Amino acid sequence: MNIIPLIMIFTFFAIMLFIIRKKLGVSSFEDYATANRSFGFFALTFSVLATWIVGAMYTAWAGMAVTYGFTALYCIAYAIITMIVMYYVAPKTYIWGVRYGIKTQSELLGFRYQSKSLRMLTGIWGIVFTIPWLIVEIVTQGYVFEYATGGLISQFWGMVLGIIVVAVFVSLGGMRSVITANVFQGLILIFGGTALMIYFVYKYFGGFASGFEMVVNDYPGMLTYPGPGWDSPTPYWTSIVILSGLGGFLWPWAYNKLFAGDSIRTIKVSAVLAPIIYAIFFSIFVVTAIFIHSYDQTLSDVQGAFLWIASESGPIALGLLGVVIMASSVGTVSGIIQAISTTISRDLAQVINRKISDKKAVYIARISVVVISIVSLFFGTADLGLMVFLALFTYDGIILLFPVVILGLYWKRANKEGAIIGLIAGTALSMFLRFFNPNFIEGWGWQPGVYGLTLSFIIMIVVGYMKNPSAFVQKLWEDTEIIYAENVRVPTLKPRSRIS
Amino acid sequence: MLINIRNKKNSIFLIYYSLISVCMTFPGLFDLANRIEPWVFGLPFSMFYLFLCVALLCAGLCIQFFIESKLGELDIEVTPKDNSNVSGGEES
Repeated sequence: MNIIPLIMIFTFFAIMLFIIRKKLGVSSFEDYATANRSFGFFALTFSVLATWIVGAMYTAWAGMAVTYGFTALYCIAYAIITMIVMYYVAPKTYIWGVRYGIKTQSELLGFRYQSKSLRMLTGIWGIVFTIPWLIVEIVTQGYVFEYATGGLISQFWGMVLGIIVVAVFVSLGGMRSVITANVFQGLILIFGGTALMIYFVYKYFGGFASGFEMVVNDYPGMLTYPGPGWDSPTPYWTSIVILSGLGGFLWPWAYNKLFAGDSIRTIKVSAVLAPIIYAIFFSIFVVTAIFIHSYDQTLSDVQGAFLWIASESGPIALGLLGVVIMASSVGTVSGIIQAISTTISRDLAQVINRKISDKKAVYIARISVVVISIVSLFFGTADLGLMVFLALFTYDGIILLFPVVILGLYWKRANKEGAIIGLIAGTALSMFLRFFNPNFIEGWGWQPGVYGLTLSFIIMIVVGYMKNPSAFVQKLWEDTEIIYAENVRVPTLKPRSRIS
Repeated sequence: MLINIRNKKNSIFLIYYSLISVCMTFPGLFDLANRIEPWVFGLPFSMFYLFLCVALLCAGLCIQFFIESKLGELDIEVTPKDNSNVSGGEES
């Protein structure tokens, strides 16, 4: 066994902990949850990328890319839509966040709709649909440790090592340590990952042009949708892009990053930069996977294709890929655990008992980190294939937060009754169709989340027209417009009064 | 006036993003581009088309960002309000 990959992974952990050593310690729950809204665009951009790009990309998604080729590029299509969503939700999320001391996505929705029930409901939705991702990522960490050490460290102990490191820095440093670590992880995974892919392309395929020439001659099906051996109608492509795009920013671990930004400009710069960086990075990843399809050895274990080609390239390449996967995975896991622990403390415990002190809120969040870590480890011993299956389902659930968020921010008539009924009914329909899988789902190609989303929008709009906007909402909109009026320049020669 | 300008600007860009997204994903339009020939910039047409749509969406975001920057919408100063009895739930 070569210990170079193991040394490289441990070095990555050591450098990461060294970088964040001064961020370990929080002064208040606000600091734990939002890092006192102190981060600029560079940190936020790489934090969004590090949280968003999962370690399973090199296992589960690699399997998809190596098997079906072009179809895996749905990720860059949905990424840009996700960032457009981020761009549009940013202003009011930031303004209301700062103005009213809001720290989480669920708190924002509870505040907008004036409903503790909705706040708790969305918090629970966020946790339930996030857990499968957390488990997949922890299992991925264990898998990488086992592969990189040639079995010296078993998958279970790899998972334990990974989760301990994350639990320590999340519980001690909260959002501040998560984002600081994310910047390091983001730089590693973007630049390290891209460099490694380009190395593979030139080492094994003689460059991009000759790689494409080989694929078009031998495997032309890899260059179009849906890919070789798969006969899926186009609405499936439409569904996965639209559902992932609209739902991609609604994960609490992504959305809550908005509360850490120091201005609207910061958030919007991140929304502009992140998809550009991601598109370049992911395109090179998918193209490499398409080329790797030509190796018969990878087709017997498509999820291990990248690890196999890295191991063929020597211990340094394997170690670097291990570090890149670990950076992706730790970034996601830390973001998820921080978001869940914040939600448990802020949106569940503090709603049930409003007398919880600031100090106790931090304590509850830290305890939650430990509990979540142990529970995830327990489920991480289950079958990974099942977990990936569950993770993919989660978009059918999280997408139902989209109408609640977007109508809540942009439509005065949206009310709590519509939001609660729409959320529950939409999710129920979506899950029913997913688990009972009637023939028309595969026949037509539209995925369950599309039906659930449509139902939820209809319910919210119908219920919205059944009653007038509340006085609270009217006041909230007026206050927001006043804030805009005080800051925004009106492009006119003649000063005019504000129309609310 | 102010709210009208902001809403119009947001709506125009939203329509632009929606149109490009429809071209990028919806049956019929996407199917037209889902082929290997012709090759453009060394890429099969399917990939070129997808990258073009993504580039157009990114360009839209950049232009919207530039306009909002000129209007001052990106540098809004917000004063925190004493909200201990309001934040995150029903007003008591």
